[in-house]
Amino acid sequence: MANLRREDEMETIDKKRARHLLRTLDFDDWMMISVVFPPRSISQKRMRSLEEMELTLIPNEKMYPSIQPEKVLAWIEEKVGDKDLAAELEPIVADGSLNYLQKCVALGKAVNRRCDMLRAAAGGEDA
Amino acid sequence: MQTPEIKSSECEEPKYGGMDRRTFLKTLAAAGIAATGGAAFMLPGTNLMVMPNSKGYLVVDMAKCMGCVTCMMTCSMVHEGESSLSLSRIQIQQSSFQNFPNDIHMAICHQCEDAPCVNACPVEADHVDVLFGNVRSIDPDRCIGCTQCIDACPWLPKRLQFNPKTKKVQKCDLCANTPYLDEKGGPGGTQSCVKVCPTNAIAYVEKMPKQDDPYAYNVNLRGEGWTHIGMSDEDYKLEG
Amino acid sequence: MEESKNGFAGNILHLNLTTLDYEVIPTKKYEEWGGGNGLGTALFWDYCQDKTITDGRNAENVIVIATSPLNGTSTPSAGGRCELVGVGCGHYPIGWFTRSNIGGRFSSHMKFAGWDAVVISGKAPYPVWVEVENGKVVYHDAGSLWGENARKTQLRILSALDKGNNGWGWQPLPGKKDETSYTTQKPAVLCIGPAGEKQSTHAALVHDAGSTSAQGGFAAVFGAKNLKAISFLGTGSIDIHDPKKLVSARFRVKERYGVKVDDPTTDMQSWWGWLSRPGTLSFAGTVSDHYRIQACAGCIMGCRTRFDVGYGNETKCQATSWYAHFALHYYKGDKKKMSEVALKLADYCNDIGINTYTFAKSVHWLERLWHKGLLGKGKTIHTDLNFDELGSEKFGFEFVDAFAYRKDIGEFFADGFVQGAIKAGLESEWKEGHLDYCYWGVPSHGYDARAEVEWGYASILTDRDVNSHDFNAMFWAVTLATMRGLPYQIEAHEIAKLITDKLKPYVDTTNAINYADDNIYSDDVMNLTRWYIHYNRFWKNTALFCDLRWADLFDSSNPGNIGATADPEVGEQVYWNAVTGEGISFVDGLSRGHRIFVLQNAIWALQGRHRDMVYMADYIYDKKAEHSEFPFFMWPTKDENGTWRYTDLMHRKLDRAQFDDFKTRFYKAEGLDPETGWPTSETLDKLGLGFVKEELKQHGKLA
Repeated sequence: MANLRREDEMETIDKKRARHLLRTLDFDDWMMISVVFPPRSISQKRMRSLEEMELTLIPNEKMYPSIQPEKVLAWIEEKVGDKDLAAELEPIVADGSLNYLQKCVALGKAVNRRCDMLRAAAGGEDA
Repeated sequence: MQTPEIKSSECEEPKYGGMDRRTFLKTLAAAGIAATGGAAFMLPGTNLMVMPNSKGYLVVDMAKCMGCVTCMMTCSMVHEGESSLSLSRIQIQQSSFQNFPNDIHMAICHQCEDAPCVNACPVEADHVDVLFGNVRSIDPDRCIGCTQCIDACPWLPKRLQFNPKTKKVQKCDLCANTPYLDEKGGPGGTQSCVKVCPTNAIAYVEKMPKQDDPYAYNVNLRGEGWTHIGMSDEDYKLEG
Repeated sequence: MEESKNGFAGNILHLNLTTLDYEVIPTKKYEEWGGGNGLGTALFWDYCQDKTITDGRNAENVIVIATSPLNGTSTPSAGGRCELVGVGCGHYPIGWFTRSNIGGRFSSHMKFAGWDAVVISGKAPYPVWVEVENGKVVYHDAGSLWGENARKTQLRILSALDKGNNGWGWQPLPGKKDETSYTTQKPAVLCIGPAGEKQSTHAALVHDAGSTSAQGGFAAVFGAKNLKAISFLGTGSIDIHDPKKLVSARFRVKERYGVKVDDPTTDMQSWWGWLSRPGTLSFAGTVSDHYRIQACAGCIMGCRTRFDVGYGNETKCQATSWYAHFALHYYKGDKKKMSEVALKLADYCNDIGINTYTFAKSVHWLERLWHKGLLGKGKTIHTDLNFDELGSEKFGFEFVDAFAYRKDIGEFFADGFVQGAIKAGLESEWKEGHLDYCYWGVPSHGYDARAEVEWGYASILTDRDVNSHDFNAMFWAVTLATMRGLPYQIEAHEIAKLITDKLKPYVDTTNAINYADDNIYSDDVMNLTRWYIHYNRFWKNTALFCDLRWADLFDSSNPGNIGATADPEVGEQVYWNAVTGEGISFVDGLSRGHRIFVLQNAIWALQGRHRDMVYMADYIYDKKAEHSEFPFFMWPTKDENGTWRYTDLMHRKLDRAQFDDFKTRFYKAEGLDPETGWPTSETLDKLGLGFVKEELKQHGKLA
């Protein structure tokens, strides 16, 4: 099981920073990922923001994300610029005990928690 | 293969000229008429033809059918040795552009209790075949192709077929006479459409479906296996 | 007209659109070609006077719509397919002689009406549609139908042909010898919508709600010929050589490979194989819990759906998924709305007669151009469409309309996306792989040619995306198991044996399925590719076994995981022989496939093909496939120690020089001249194709 950082250990986020991390990136920084519709179809789309990545990551019985976790990690760190979230995701990506879909679920939940926090902060007071 | 359980057919004691079976048989006995295992006959003093019930019936599940018409092609093959939709004794009609479940209709012979087609035949070609479980079938050697049996069928599309090559009429005989089937057909034997259907949307039953219910021959053959593959097992009232 | 015999209806209909006349050709002369692709290619050779044409919209083009002896019979998943061949349009750099295929009930009704194929030549002086009812052939003025979408066209034709009935609920039809025959069935119609009328290469031919022929651009060819629709209705019979055998083989295949629809323990997650796989249904989910599985004529298990919501009937595959992910995000993760939009749009594409296959790759590229400032109002490529709304239902319909009605970017790209990129001075976009169209100007299927090599090889060595999932069945099973963390039901070394056992005598080693970097140009893989092409040309494209069910090279529903292909009880040849009485082996069929392929190479030679142009797009050789739609691309490989495992192949590019050498060996093995890729005189004689030599010689194309 990934050793996740506690929320209170993470950087305190102000409204400006939260909005920055939730922003729509420039086109060149968008990341192409896909969803697989079992048993044999796939549909691609560029992820424009962290929130868009959030929508796709957690699989359900009809739809699986199709990602390369290392690349998602790198994208979050380098393009989105959320090093804190990247640090939280790193042990998940490295966890060899998780199968691919378990990894997606764990990543998805972590991204979802982070986005909830960012959304709350983005609607809060300026620093 | 599991035998699908029929969930919603309503089969009850058939009525004979308004009488229940016990009263009817007593009446026949009083009239000195044997009523066991015989062919169809006219009840004296009436225009009522008495015929023993078929020992088997086809029922269908129109929500389960996938419209592949394999049953039709197989039916004509086992009977005539050739593949034909027009010579099939089961008819599947469909419309791509209609909504489910009204996009497919399965038309089977009901092996009617008081079969009008038997009643109508002037030469007793369309008869109750006591050798094959009282199935209502047409003897091609006697048929003169007058098509009165087709006219008499109360269902649409008519459940009998006119064969333009032989100029005779034919109908479902529950595979009693199937020279191109390697197994024994007829009641108690194989019904090709039942056996070949990929979704098991056709079943053979021994209990007569309710004769005065136009929905009685469409039953729910979808069970746990069907829902397991993601499909619905909801009941649909469809006329058959 | 001839009578049906041994699966053949006995007659071929030649429609001469120029004179609005027709002739009846006895099939007998062409029976050696089987049906479908083989029959169609042979007829094309005889009826197309100018085989040098390179765009199917040329009036000299001939299209053949061909059935097989198995159509209209209960052969599992072969009763309902139909093949189309002719010079296509939309390929790059040449509109090759190509093929397409549809399902449904069109081919079975053609057969029941007494016809094995339709040859369409010339160009009608005004829009027409053709009605065929048994032996009756009538040209109708299609003026009032021109402009209608494919759905309305079919509904109007069905209404016009509805004679009512005599109270029996059966339609009377004129049969043979002036007798009246009867049917309860509706005519089967194949038609074009506005995109075909406007000769867009993105058009599709449509039959019923969702059977479409899109690859190859034949809908545009119909439009160029002023042909709106053809309908068939038949009351006849198909003679079967051994009906008892066919019936019992069909019973047996259900027992051994049929989907156990009533068994609650049927494992939905872990099937390996094609024949026994449960239905696929819509790929973007469903919008209602009330629907049925629907199938083509004779299918062992359907792959389409009919819903109760008024849209989405018979939509499937990538038609339902190309827009799905865009919609998911536009509607902020609302999966129900995603399904609704995806299905409505798929339905609309079928209604209007549009090919969605090319959209799966081109929309992303257009989005890139938009954000790079190359697409938009007044930009390098002008559009009034607002790509910021990509994903919305409104945008989806506007986008499809642009291509259907050849307006805006639909006009700019009417001849194809690669052609449009070049026209706009953006050829580098294609060469660098931003526009992922890797062979002959058609898009990658998603099974990257650098990873799944046989797919790319077969596509570039023929005429189009091969769209044949024979080996790909394994890819999906392994990929889904890997994603789910499930153990592999069939390990790599086992599947290698199972598959290669089916490929004899082409390969006699499991090494043929070893896609390790050091083996993908080997003779073994080359021979696997040859098997693949030959199998497709005969068993799939000619005999018309459906790609979604065949080949069944392995199958977890059967003991030992052995697939149904070539099986002595239920393999392809069993049905062929039961119907035709020919007594051929499975391998005999492959040889016939080779013959058909060589004949096609003769046509391509006349069209201008030379081995020097047989290359995939530059990025296949220049760039590693680092990005894939899939998280990994698992495939069996064998290492230097002889250990088999499923390996992720998503990391490599192909090598031009090695591919060149592979091609040389392929041509030699096929009997084609390695210098040019053209058929040699010796091969033509050996395969009974001597009749093509004169024409090749006249054009300086005989090797």
